[in-house]
Amino acid sequence: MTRTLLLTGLAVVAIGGFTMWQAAAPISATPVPEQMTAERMAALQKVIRPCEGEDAFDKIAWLTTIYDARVKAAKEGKPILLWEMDGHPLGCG
Amino acid sequence: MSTFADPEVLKLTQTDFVPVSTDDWYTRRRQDSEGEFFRKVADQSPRKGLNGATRQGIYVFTADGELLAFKNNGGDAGDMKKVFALAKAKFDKLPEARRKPGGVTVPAAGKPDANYLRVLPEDGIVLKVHGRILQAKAEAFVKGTCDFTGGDQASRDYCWITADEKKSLIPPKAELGFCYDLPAKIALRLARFHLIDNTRGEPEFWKKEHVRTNKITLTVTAVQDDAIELRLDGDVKLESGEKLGYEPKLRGDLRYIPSKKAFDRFDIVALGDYRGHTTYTPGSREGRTPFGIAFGLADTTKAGERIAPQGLRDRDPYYGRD
Repeated sequence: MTRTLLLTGLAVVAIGGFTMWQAAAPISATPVPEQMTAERMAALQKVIRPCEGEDAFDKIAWLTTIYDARVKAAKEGKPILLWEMDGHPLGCG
Repeated sequence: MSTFADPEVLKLTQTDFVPVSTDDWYTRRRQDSEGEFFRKVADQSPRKGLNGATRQGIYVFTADGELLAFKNNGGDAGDMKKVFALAKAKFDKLPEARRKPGGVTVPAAGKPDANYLRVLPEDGIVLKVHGRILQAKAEAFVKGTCDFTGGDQASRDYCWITADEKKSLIPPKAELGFCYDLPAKIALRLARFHLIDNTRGEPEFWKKEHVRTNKITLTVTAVQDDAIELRLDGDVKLESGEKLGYEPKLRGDLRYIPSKKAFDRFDIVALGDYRGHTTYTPGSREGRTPFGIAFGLADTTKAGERIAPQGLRDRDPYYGRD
C-alpha cells in the first residue's frame, strides 16, 4: 500500500509538473511554415525589403568620405551637403 | 518618412550640392585629416562635441571648410528647404574665386586613422541586410504596424564576409545532398550582429552567452558544370533574460560559381518571434511578434553599399576574435 501510494504520488507530481511546463511554454506568435518553399521565401523577401517609396534617399548618389566630397565640390563649384548620424544614415536602422 | 523622400528636396540635393553621408561615431573621433576637417566645420555649428558628445546633423559647407548652414536631423522637408535656401544664399555671396569650378584646391588626404578605418574585405562577400516587423495574415506575412514613428519601415545594414571565410563556405564535396555546418565564425556573426531588430534605432548586439541555439547548415542541391547550388537551413535562439529574445528559422539559397570563385546568389530569410528591445530601440510591440530579416548580395559598385556593418565598430567581436 505504501509503495502504491508512493508511486501514485510520484505520478501526480509528474503529471502536475508536465502540465506546468506546458502552461509556461509561450505560444509562438509566428507560425513559421513547415515547408519554407522557394515561393514563400520570395514572398517574404518582398515584404521585408524596402518597397516603393521607402528609402527614397537611396536614389541619391551619396559619397561616403568628406574628402571625396571636397574634391568633387571643388571641381564642380558646389557646396557640400553632409548627412551625419550616429549610426550610418545609409546603413543603420 | 525620410526628408529626402520629398521630390524637391531629392532634386535639389542631387543638382545643387555634393551629397555625402558618414557615421558620426567614426568621423568625430578620427585623428586624421578627415576628422580634423569635419571638426573644424562642426565647431562652427551648435555641435561642439563637448566631452565626446555626438556631432550628428545636416551640415552644408564649402570645400575649403566654411559652414553655410546646419540643422539637426529629423524635421520635415520644409525645414530642409529653408536650410538649402540659406546655404545657397551664403554660397552665392562668396568671392567668385571660392565658388567657381576649380577655384578651391583640396590638399591630399594623408594617412587615415587606422583605429577608425574599416576596409571592405577584398574578394570577400558583402550582403545587404534588411529587417522588418511583420504580422501574420492568412498563410502569409505582411508588413506589421506599430506606434513608434518609422518603426514599420525596413531597416538596413551590411554584413561582411572575408575572402578566407568565403572559401570555407565552399562544400568539401560537390555531391548532391552533401550537408555540412555553416562555418562557425559566419554562423556566430549572423546570429550576434545581424539577427537583430534595428528598425527603431541602434540596437545592442547579442553577446556570445545570449546565443542559445545556432544550428545552421548548408546542403548541396544542384551541381552543374560551373555552378554549385546550396540550400541553407537554420534554427536559432537568441535570448537575454525573459524580456528580450529572437527565435528565427532561417532558409536560404546560395549559388557558387567555381570559375569566378564567387557567389552570385546569397539569399537568406529569417523569420520568427521577437520580444523586447534594447536601450536605443524603444517602442517594441508587446509580447512575442513576428520579425523578418532578409539577406542578399549588395551592389558594391555603389559607394553607399560599401559602408561598414554597424557591428564592426568593435572589430574583434565581429570577426570572432573575442
